[in-house]
Amino acid sequence: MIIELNQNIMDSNNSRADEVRKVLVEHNLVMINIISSPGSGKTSLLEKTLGKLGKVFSLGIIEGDVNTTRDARRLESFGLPITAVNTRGACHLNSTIILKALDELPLDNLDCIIIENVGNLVCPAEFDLGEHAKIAISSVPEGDDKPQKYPMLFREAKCLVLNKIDLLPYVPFDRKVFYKDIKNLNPKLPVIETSCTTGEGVDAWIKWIKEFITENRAQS
Amino acid sequence: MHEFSIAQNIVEILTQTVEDNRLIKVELITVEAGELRQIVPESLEMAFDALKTEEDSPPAIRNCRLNLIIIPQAVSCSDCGCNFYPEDLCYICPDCGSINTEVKEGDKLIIKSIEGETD
Ligand SMILES: Nc1nc2c(ncn2[C@@H]2O[C@H](COP(=O)(O)OP(=O)(O)O)[C@@H](O)[C@H]2O)c(=O)[nH]1
Ligand SMILES: [Mg+2]
Ligand SMILES: [Zn+2]
Repeated sequence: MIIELNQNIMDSNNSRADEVRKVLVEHNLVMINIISSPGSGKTSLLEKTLGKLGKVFSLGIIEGDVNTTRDARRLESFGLPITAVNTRGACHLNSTIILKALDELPLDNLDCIIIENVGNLVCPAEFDLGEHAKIAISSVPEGDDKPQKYPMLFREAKCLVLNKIDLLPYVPFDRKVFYKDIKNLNPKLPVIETSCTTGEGVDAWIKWIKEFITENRAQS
Repeated sequence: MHEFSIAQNIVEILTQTVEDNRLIKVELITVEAGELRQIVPESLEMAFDALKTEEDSPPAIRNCRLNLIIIPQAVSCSDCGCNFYPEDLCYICPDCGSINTEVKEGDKLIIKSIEGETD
């Protein structure tokens, strides 16, 4: 016999993401999910962001790491509630992991939760974590071809940070190609250029995320 | 490798279906993968074959074959209504230049059907 299923393969992840969304609404929380290749600057951008953003909003962090808690330790000095989740080798976070991580954060006292996903451009783009926005980081030394190679992430993202622009004079990176591909892929995607080394552009990024949090809290 | 976690989900759903329908043997599972999901067919097949023969997988799925169909993308323009294929990953409407377009097909991962026997 033939059984017609027509079932979404991501169903179980998506229904747990719905549970996450419920928790977020209950606590009037905004959740941001930061995604990039390993080494693009996710932790560095957080180091640049948390001090200033933490003055305006009460923040909590979920640190995804494949096997260590090194990134969580890098952020400890900000004195914010952090929960480190170890995916034990898996290349992405899923909504079950997030639901558990939320249990460990003082949700009543928070305005926004920032997730640093595991370094990877493919799987994290596929998993709905219940977040308000996926933020993609691409960095100059990775090359200008990442949007063409990993379209799903750049389609899903609500904001794209192009990091390490201090390296533009030293590595081949054609800004024109990069921007043209992004415009074709996701014409509405805002792109913010930053350097975590010189600090350039970081304020523009903080402004974007502040506005995003404010807008999305007002809605709920 | 995202094919592995996708194969895990497939086997999970397959196992559940076997239990729900009391299947003694599953011959074929048909999966539709949107082109945008960038599934590598060989990788998905390899992961599926490894998982279906694991010890805690039901014996009924051991010989199940995977029929993977890649669904090409189809985008529709919200302004002029035309449907198009995003050539060179360009999602801007080729007819009217609008950026208000929506992917209608080719972005999903779906188990279409399962072919098996009950006792
Ligand atoms: N030149 C340069 N290096 C950077 C920049 N941002 C981060 N890095 C370096 O890139 C490496 C990886 O950064 P990290 O934040 O750990 O990346 P993550 O894996 O995405 O969290 C570190 O050595 C950082 O010091 C930048 O804007 N410019
Ligand atoms: Mg990091
Ligand atoms: Zn049009």
